[in-house]
Amino acid sequence: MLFFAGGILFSINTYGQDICSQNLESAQRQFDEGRFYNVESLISECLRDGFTKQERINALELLALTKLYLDEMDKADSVYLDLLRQDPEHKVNELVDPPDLIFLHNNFRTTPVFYWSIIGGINFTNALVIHEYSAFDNTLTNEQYKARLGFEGGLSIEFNVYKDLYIGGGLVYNRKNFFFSDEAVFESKERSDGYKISYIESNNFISLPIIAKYTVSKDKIRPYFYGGISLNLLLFSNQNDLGKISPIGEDLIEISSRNISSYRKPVNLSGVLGIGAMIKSSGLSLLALDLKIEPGLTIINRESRRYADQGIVIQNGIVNDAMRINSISLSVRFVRPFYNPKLKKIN
Amino acid sequence: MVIRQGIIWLSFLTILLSCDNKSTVEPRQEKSFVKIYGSETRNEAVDLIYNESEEEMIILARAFEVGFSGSRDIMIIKTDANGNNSNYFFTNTTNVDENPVQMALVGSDLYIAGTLENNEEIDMMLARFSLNTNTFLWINAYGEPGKDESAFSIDVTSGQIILAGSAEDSIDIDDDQNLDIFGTVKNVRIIDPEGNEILESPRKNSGFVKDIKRFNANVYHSLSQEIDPVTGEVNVQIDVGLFDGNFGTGYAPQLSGNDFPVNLIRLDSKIIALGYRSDRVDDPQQSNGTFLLVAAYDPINGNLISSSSRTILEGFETLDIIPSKMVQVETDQFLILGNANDNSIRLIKFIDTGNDYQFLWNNVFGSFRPSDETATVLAIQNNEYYFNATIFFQSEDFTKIALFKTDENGRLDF
Repeated sequence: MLFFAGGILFSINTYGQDICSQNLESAQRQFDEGRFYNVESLISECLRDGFTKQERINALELLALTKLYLDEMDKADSVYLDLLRQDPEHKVNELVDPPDLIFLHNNFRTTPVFYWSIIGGINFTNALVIHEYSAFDNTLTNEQYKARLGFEGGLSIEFNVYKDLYIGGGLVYNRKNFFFSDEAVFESKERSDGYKISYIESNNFISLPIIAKYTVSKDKIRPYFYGGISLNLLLFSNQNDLGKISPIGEDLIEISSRNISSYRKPVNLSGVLGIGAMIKSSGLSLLALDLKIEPGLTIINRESRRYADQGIVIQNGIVNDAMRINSISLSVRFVRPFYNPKLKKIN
Repeated sequence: MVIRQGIIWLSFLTILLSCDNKSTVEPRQEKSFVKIYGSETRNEAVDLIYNESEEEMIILARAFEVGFSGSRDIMIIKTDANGNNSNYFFTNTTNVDENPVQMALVGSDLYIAGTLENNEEIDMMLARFSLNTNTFLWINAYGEPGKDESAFSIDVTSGQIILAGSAEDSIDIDDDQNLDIFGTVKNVRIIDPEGNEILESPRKNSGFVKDIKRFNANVYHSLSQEIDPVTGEVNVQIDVGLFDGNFGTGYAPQLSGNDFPVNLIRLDSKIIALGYRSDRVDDPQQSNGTFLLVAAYDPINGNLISSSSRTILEGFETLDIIPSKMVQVETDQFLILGNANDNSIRLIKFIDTGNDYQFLWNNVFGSFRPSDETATVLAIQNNEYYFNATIFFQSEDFTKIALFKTDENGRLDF
């Protein structure tokens, strides 16, 4: 019985859509033949209920054009606004669409008011030594830094400020790692001997980037580039896989992880430069592939605490260089635009 | 176009970032530092000098032979004022135990005092090291066969070399009435710059000379520890006296207790001597207080006029300090370097107000390991303070040399 009733409803609905499809075709013919006054009556009922989404968009575009030709500008604006609310990314084809429609379209704000994004990605970070410090003779040490893999994730939001230019910010957790090793040479009357230390330093930040972003296209693939600055709040910092100083040639012995948060500045600044492309996924949503570099602008060490842990300095020979950290990250972003079409202010 | 340029720039920066970063940054002039030096064996810090003409630090140390034991070599480490560009020099002797304790700079030569043990014969040692050629010119031993002599201090201000210390010998306790006992006696020798002995002091005053400073051609102020030769009791005392070949006259009033001398500073008309007191003779590393012994002297003949003592670091911040060196840094200001009984290294600055001694600061260094032991502190230009110490480096058997440089407030971090 239920199945039977459902079948009837489906049939009625299909019948209604067929009628509305025919009406839309009739309205288009009336429009093409110049009988503009007949257009609205053919499609007005179906606009309330009966069109598929695409038919509804086509009908609204036809009706807006009709109103333009009837010189009913306010109504044309109203209808086109309704269209853009149905289809915020509606485009006009400058090659085939009537100039009046293109003009009407251009009177509306069709760019997203803002984008919000969910970010997840990886980064490579390395240290840039500004001043070298060592518990050993600097001329005999062999400090090396190597980039290591880290990760990041967070949210961002970008507001449209002018045409395709956006200003935005975010809240991003990122873990930035780099490797350090040093060899210190001790002299001997018989032979030179040395000792080696190594560790991976992990700096965990909550970053608050502020960027200006330019979106190049509104097509299916939308390249963009951006630049800005990031305020990085240190959550905690560790030196992991701390290799005990041991004679060169012997295996390093792991000591433990060492929390060095108190030896790092709680707030740092970095530059932000990035490039990427958004690709339409489903509906209005986009997926973006983003490549970003973040050159450190401030020294991450608290220089006043360089020798604060003398146990580490004296027993293990660890004195951190004054350094900035630079990173490059590759991330995937789920991007959701928010549209609010409206007539532009005409001066 | 914009996109393409962006990609090119990002690619370039990506390559830069992904490369290994080997630090090639020149170290800058550091206001403070800690530097660790040493050979592959156990090392002990002894003394520190700033060679102003070459703007270099010279560290005197002991280096034990391979295996963390056996005989010792003199180890000299030369560094620049930043503690870099270090060069090491060893005596490289075989089966000879050199135990340096202090050095003095004369022109471009270092004179190093201490003891030398060779075939169970222990003598005062004086070594001469040329800073120009970086070679040991000679290493001499001074002493009588079968009797142990040790040097604890060196003075070179007269142009001759004064070695001050002790000898194990018979002590005349009854003015040649044939009652002698065997013990430790003060021993001072005058040696010419080429190493030839000129004079040895009479061996009749019990104790040892810990520090000596020349007053004029023949008169020296010395800081000694005395031992009662009659009772045999350990009756350790500090005196400030004169040495003119016979240890002169005019000892300062003696303090009770077991007192150990450290060093003296001679000012225009008074001597300030540093010592510490211990109730445990068997373990003098248990301090019960640090004191200053102040003696006024006649600037014409050097004779002592009056003296007084004052305990200054008794229970200092609930810690007792074993001092290793006191230096004058300004007219009325002094530094004391030492170890506290919590194994920390202490650098303490105090001011002599004329009536009193007031402490300006007391800074803590080191790893709080028992092997951290201080050696010498220096004050050089711009009120930068350097001091060196033996430090615990990874293990007790692996002590190394640390050179510290602090700012004018004795801080590493600022």
